[in-house]
Amino acid sequence: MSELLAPRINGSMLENYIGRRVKLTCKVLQPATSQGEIAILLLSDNIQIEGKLIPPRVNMEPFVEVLCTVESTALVTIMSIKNLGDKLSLEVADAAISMSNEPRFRDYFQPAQRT
Amino acid sequence: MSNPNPYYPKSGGSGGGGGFMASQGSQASPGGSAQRVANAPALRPVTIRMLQKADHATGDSDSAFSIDGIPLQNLTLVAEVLRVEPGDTNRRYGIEDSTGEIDARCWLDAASVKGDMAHITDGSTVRIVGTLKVFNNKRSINAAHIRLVTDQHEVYYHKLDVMATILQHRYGLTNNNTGNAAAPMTGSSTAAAYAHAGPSSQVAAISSRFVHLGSPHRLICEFLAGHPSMGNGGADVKTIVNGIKHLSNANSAEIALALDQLMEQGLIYNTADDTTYDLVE
Repeated sequence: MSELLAPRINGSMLENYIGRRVKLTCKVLQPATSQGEIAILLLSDNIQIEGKLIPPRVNMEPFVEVLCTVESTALVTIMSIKNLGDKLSLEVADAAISMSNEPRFRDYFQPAQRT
Repeated sequence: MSNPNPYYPKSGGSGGGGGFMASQGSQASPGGSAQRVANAPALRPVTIRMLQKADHATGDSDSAFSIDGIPLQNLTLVAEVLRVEPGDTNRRYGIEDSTGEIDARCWLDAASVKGDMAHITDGSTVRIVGTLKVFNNKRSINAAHIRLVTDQHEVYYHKLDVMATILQHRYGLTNNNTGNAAAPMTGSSTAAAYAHAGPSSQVAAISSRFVHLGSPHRLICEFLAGHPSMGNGGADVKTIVNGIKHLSNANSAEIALALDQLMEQGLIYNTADDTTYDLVE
């Protein structure tokens, strides 16, 4: 299974994914460019967190999707970044993310557990 | 003519509409299992996890897949390309959509090589239309159409499309039954928002097998399906009328007409006599 496989979640779900790999849709409030730097990210449900960069050098657009490991409800370690441009509706993104994580849809969106 | 829905391809595969549009108006149809296939959505939005869990009738490559009891014909999904493996006659893409990974194979022609496919690389987000195949117990997508996603909202639109189609199959179309299944998707959506026409106080548990039928046809089939004691010889007209009258505004003449129409469609048949009916298995 690819190391890139991770469920998309929002800020309110971080506490359920401590230590696990997830994808977060964010608006970049304060970018970071090199390894070890801290970026300030606004998640799709308006929760603000910090992201510590692992990649040596990145270029962050205003909206990004980060593949990260959840360290706590306020800090993630960023493995990779996918730029989403400068026009993204976080409201639309959060609606899709929230609903896809509801119990009635979880079987359709949660990846298979690693064995 | 411009494409009214830019998220679906204008050509290739069976594009041009998703689960909402493809499920409309499929009333006249042959009977039995052929009808279920005929009335299955022509193009279903899916996630890779759904493809991994899809039921496969016999396990061989020619038998049909199904999701939640609905036959899967053509599928569409949005995913990120992990790797591209070029070949002489086809190109294989490893894709993932945060729910799972799968391979998608796209056969090459002169137009595709010059078009979008030339720009699809590792990390690209793509929209794929195709079918699900299995070979040597490994599932993969036979992609009839693949294109780059240029608007990132399409990723989230696709998630909502998948969920809306799931709810449509589970609860049926909206009250007006016009196929405008674009009921607002909110976090507080309930089954009541998707109930068929009928007493507003009732939320019918709609079998996915009969979801394409209107009222009272669907109610008749569900009554026969939900009363196993009727299995030996079926149910007579009076019993059926009494069984569904609290759910339907149809009068006896309309129910009799519905029974005739269900007979013509091959969904029900006469058992003991001309007034006793049972479901075709």
